Amino acid sequence: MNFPVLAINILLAILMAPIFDGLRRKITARLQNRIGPPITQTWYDILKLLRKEIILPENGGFLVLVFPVLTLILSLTMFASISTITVQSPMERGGIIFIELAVLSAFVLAIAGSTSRNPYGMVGGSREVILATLVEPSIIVSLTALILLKGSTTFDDISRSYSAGIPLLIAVVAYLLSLLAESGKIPFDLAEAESELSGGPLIEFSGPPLAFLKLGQSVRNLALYSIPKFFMIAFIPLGLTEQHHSITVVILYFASLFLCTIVISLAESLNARYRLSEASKFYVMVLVLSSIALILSVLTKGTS
Amino acid sequence: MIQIVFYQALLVIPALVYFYSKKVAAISLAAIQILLLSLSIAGFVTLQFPQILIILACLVLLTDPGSNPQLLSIVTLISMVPLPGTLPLVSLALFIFIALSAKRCQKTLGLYMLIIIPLTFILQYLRYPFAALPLVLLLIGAPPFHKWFSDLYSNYRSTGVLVALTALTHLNAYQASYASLTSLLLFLGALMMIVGLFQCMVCKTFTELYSTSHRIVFGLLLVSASVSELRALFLYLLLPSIFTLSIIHFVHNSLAERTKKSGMFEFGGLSTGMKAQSACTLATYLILFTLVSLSSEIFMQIGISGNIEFILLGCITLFVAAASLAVFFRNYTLIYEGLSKSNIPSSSSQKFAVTALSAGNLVTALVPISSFSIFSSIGGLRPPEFEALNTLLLIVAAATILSAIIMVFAKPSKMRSWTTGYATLNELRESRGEIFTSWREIFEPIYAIKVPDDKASEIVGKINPIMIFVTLAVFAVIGEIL
Repeated sequence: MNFPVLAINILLAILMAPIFDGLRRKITARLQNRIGPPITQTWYDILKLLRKEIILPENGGFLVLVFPVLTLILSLTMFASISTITVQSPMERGGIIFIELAVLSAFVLAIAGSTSRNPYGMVGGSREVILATLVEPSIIVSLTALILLKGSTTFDDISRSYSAGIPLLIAVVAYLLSLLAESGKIPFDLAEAESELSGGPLIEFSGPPLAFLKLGQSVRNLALYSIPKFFMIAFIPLGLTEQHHSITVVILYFASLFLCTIVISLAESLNARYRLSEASKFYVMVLVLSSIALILSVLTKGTS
Repeated sequence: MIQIVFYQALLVIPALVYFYSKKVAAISLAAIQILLLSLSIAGFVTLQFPQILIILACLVLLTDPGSNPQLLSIVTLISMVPLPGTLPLVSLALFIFIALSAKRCQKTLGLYMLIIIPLTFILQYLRYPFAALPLVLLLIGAPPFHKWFSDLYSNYRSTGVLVALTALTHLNAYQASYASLTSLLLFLGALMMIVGLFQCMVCKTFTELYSTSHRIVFGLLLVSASVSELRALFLYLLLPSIFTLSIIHFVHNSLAERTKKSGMFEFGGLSTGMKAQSACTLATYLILFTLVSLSSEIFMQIGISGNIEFILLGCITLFVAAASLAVFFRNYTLIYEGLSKSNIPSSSSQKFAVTALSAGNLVTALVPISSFSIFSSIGGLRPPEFEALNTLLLIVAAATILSAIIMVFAKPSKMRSWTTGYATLNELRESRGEIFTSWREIFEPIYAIKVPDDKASEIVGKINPIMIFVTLAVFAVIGEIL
């Protein structure tokens, strides 16, 4: 385990995640002809929440506190497992650990909502489980296709090999489509559904636990936005030397973050919230797409 | 050798004492098992790995108040008899058939056992290396036999677990013989996990909960027992798996016995009276989830390094792991959370037993080397190399400790739950909360894709077992001729 890179990643996650969330809010507001909050607004919200006292619902137990903390730790570990602005990987087998944590953290938020024993929280939690059950297989399969094509589970190796092709292209499309639901924003904000469920899983959280959840969600999203970098490396035939590699990695990393933020903001501005049945049909299609990518990857791997 | 036979003969005592007192039989069985282990550590008796495992499993399973020490002692006795090849498994199958006949239940399962035993002998006579395969699958409860196992578990839960473990250790020990059927075993293992997960999502009674948890755990063990590269993982999984199933049985069985209820929907709101039990159940579910997820990590690793079929297996296991967390939490919530329907005070001995089991489970799951050292110290085995660490369990443990620290230092205050003001919280719980409780919302979209499992079992169940026997025997002979 590379501890300095790990520390850099964790620091980067805590600093950047709320900023990129603020950027998404700003872009969405501009697309809707509003001025919108400043891009540091999410940071101010989190700092304000952290200063407040901890209030737990009277029916909720110790778990109401455990799950927000768990969400934050899982998201930070998830982000820390990727090589973001560095060439070196912080962890061995980082690719698999990332998939594991990404899938798990989706379910943890759902469970967090249910621990409060508020009916709105429970309904929101159950919707989160439905979405996660539909979306996570696509995330697993599309990322497995990436790992399989690159032939390594270490992000270090993944970012160094350059092998583009149809399977990778299909995998990146499936991944980006899955990202829409993963971000928990419109049209897939069925769980939080402010106007309908008043925040769903988050309804009973306030003060520091809510800050942990919000920061956790932002860090998780940032980690997911970082992945297209590894797809992009394969598609840009720059013929890089080792010396230029690190600068390119940083540029591609930020390009990946901006690209995902813009895609999410556009989807948020141009669509209305989907119903559960519509979302499920959509993600069955995405799963089929990602499965095709995996099958093609297995065939490509078999022939090479 | 004489010594071992003598101690094995001792195991008959609990079976006889059982007619006098169930409690005394359980204590005497535990005492004999501990004596055997102590003599093994002292070097007076040499026990083999499967024998150590079965003794340890038996000791853990004895903590279940619903366990049957008479049957457990006979199973242990049969498992420990150093018989060659498939004979111990045949003896176990015969024993289960006799037990089922005595209870006059599970005719179909009994009939299948009677059919598969001669089939095993025919395959062995024809010198097929995998002669015991149908019997192993039957004893584990692999498809299509699992449909009849859910009822079996309502009568002989602990015995069922012990028998399945014996079958799995046999499979692992004779792994080379089954090499040509590895793909089939991997497929069946993955199918057991997926079907177990989906059935667990809709289970309504404790019996269903046992059988579905059994399927997930033994599906995973079946996969890891079938491949030589996964021997270390198989050994690591054994003890936490036994602990996990034992805790699930222990907690729910004591609940069912006290309330004389077996439906999961009849509970809820028990956490005030049963804090230790609810915490241990939750911890058990988390540990089971981390075991599945660690295994998926290892499957993916093997898949990436060249064994392509493990890629798909890794993806399936990874999904099972993540979804199982939500499913386990659904089961936990149904029993312990929500509107209070009955409040059951728990005894201190129960609290102690379940806490001790959970501690054992946590230690063996968190530190793989601890479960290896148990086997190595008793049986003189060399622990296999096992580099993976249960990262997720570490993260969950860290989050729990951190939350406890925050709870102590920040002293949170409690407030009434938030509501819109249009309806009382109880009204909302009864209407909207019910949606969560039954999870209709989840299963309508998911169950649009039908799980063909039960239907397949029903179709197989309608075919005359003698027809199946004749067909399989004919295939075996044709295979031999060709």
